[in-house]
Amino acid sequence: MSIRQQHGFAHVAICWAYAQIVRLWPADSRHWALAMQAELSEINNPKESLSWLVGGVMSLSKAWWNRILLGRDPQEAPTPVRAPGILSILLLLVAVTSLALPGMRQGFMTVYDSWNFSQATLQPAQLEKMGRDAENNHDASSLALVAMRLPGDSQDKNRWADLAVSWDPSLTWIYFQMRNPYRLDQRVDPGISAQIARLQKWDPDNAVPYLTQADEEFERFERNTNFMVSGTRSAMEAEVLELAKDPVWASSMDKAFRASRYDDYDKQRFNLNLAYQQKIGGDRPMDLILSTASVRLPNLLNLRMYSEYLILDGAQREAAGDRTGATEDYWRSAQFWQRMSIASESVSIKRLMALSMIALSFEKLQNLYERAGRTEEARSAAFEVASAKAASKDFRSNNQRIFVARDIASPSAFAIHISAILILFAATLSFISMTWLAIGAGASPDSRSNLRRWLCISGRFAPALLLLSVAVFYVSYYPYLESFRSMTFQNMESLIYTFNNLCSLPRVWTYGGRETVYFWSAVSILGTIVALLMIARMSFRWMLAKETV
Amino acid sequence: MAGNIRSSEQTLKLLATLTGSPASWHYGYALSRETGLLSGTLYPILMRLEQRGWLETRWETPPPESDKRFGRPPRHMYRLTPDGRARAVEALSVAGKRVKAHGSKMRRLAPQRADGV
Repeated sequence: MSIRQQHGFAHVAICWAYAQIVRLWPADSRHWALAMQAELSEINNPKESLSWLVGGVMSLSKAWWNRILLGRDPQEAPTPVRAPGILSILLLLVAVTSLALPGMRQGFMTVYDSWNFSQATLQPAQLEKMGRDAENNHDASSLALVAMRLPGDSQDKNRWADLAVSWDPSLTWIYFQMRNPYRLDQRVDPGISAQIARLQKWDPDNAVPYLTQADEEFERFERNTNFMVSGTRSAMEAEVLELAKDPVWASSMDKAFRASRYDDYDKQRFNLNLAYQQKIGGDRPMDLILSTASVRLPNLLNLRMYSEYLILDGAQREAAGDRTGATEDYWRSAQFWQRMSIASESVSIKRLMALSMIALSFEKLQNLYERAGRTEEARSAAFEVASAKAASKDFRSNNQRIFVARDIASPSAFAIHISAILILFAATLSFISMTWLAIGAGASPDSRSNLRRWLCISGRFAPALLLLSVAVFYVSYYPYLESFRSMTFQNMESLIYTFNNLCSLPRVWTYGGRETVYFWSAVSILGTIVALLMIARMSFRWMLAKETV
Repeated sequence: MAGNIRSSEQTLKLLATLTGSPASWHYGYALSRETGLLSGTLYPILMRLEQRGWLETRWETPPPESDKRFGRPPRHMYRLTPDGRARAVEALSVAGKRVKAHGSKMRRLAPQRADGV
């Protein structure tokens, strides 16, 4: 009866485990694993065999630790490594083919744009080229897109806008959306008056063309006075009354607050950007998202100031006994903000402000009706106040839900960025190793040089890593791809947050989100471990060299 | 390649055992039993001693036919090199002096060291 038979199943299992230890041991010192394995035949006690096995595992980890710290013994002949075979080539082919999956290009462009965020949108030079092409091709919508998105200092911006509108008057709205926010662009545009006039003529029932005119006056007032410096209520009231002396501003605001519609052309802007995306095959989601997110709004402070003016005027009229005039003032304020609220998406700053101003205006009306003994109307006004406050609360919880959705999106954002890095790494390794081996294989097939070893190892494993990374990337990016495909103007807001989460991950300097901190902490910790290992390895080698002198 | 080696208590135990019969070849399991060191401690020390040139190793010659039926593989054997022996004695002597001076737990190595020299 053999020793194995004597010891039974436990010994067989331990022998098998030892065989695995031998297999996993670094090749250049594997004889030590064989030495430990050979001693097993002398151990009759299963408990001692198990202890010997535990020792084998410990020695294996020490052997690998030494291998990592010290590297391979230079005096040892390296074990030959097999060149990549047909399996590696097949894996590489599958990986390269899967790069052509629909949406893969969009995924790469999104990640690339997030790494290169300052260039994520169409750049002025690209826009100018597009503008020249559109002008030559008589393409009004492309020309309007270019005019809308070119920076304010571009020479052709106004000319192209006028040309696009003359070719297609339905694009007249760009005269509002092409204006940069006034805080970014304080230059006086000589062509603006004519453009505003055309906009007002084209869309006379809309408040926004009149607000465009009023914004010009308000911003001029803001530049020329110490506006809002003191910050007190009485100072603000004085400023409002001063501003109301400007007849152009007062008239424009009056028309805007009496207009039957509020439309700041955000949907038209979105559709124009979307048409461009469709032209380029939907490859630049970041361009669409960032351009839509930077939609032009009327000056909200200006709107607030006029509302304050109406409320102040209403209070003065009420004090003078003119309740009808006061009611009209309060109603005008309330109705304007109601129109704005209806035209706003569920989660935008306009809606938040509109809800707050609706509540304020109806509170004034409620008080006025109560003082006048008009109970039924006071009750209706109170209902409007309560509704606006409830909607404001909903707005906040909706916002909260979006932030929760961002947190859910975080793991996939990690996976996308990490797999994109691995794809780059594995593709580079595969390309270098396969090319070198194809060129150098015939020259020295039996070479055991370090370079050839590493190229063989890379050639064997990099295609598998590439395929795995491509799979992880595609699976992780797929939900973003689907969201982008099903994007509409209505769900744009939440999509902005979702993509922002993906794209802000590498931008620690512009975005202090929790996910970004986790991401960079993980990268820093890994980097530190690698650096420490390299330092330790160099130190150990130096100490060994010193010892052996 | 003959360098210095860090003389831990475990290393000194092993050196003491090896210097006990310097001319003989020793087996791993037997050394483990004699020194009380577990294989996970013993083998890394053996590896280090060999790397520094203190220890010579060889594989057992194939067992006779009578043993082959047990399927026993050849075993690895160890003994100190002449240089290793001199350094081991020196290390044990230093450790012994330290024991005398400080009365530490190394005391129990002293008789073995005397035998080994």
